[in-house]
Amino acid sequence: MTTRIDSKIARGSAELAILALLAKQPLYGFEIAKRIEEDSGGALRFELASLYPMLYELEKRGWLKGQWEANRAGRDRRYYSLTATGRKKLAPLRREWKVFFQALDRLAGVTRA
Amino acid sequence: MPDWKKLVHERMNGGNAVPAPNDEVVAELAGHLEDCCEALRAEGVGEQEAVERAIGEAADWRALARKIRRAQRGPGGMNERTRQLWLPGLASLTAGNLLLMALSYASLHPRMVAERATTWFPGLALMAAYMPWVAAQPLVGALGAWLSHRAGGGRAMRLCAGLFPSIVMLACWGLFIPATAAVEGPKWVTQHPVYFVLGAVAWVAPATMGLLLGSLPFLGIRDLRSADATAARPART
Repeated sequence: MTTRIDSKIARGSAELAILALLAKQPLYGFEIAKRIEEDSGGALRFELASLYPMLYELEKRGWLKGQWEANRAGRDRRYYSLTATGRKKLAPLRREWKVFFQALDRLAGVTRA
Repeated sequence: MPDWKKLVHERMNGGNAVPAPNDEVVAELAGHLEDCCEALRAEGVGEQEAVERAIGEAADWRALARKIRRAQRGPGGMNERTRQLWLPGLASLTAGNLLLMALSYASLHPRMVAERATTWFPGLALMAAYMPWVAAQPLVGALGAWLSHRAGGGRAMRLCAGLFPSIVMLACWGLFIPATAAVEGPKWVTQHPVYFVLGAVAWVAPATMGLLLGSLPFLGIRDLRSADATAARPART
């Protein structure tokens, strides 16, 4: 069976980045933005204006759950973690992106460059 | 350091032109700005510049307030479960009940068959009386499953939406009718348990089969999101 790519690439990439990061551990907004920037070598950057609407939307969908906790500095921050639904969504998203990059590679040789 | 909560609230409120999001959102965004500013300060950026760069994370705060409100409302102000299960389920339930009403008013239910059947198998009367209704259940199930599919519902959601009228009916026979009988005293439910069971079977089992039959074509098809992507693919030249 052929897995097809979701048309909303940009949006999907942001969703995947957030879900993949939160699958490892719960993080709060600033940490999520910082970790995405660090782990992608600075190639991906989330600003506050794009990060929080997405977090709230994913929470509304039931993929994430936010919970207020004190961080290491003792300040209250809203930590996000994946819900069971979010974990279920992560595997198909990863598969979709893998197929997308394979298709792009066949077309443009992006990984051979 | 500024009062971050006050600053976020004022910028998002935009002179009351746009209602500010709730306090929790304001507190969360204020915390983000605070962390951002501290990180910049740790890199050696001056306080004033750090504050300005932190605030610059959102070019248009009122637009951000609107985006956050939209995100919290969900698409069309409804969450996924409402669009993928409750609305399609209610649509199929309503369609089934309207059909039953129409059939009853049109006197399509075969009274003669029901009366004759009663003499040798009382439970069959219920099934015979509503045979046209049962026969139409595949259409009702198809409606629920199709609406759920259109809303992007997964296979389980489509199945539940298609079978929704039977789920409600099962709840009626399994919970509400016994509860009513328990409250009102020992009536026909307790006096004639066989009739009760036959009635429940007649109202739930055939309808469920019909609903399932109608839902089946919509259970195997891929998600709408994937279908959209297929449609968006450029044509081969």
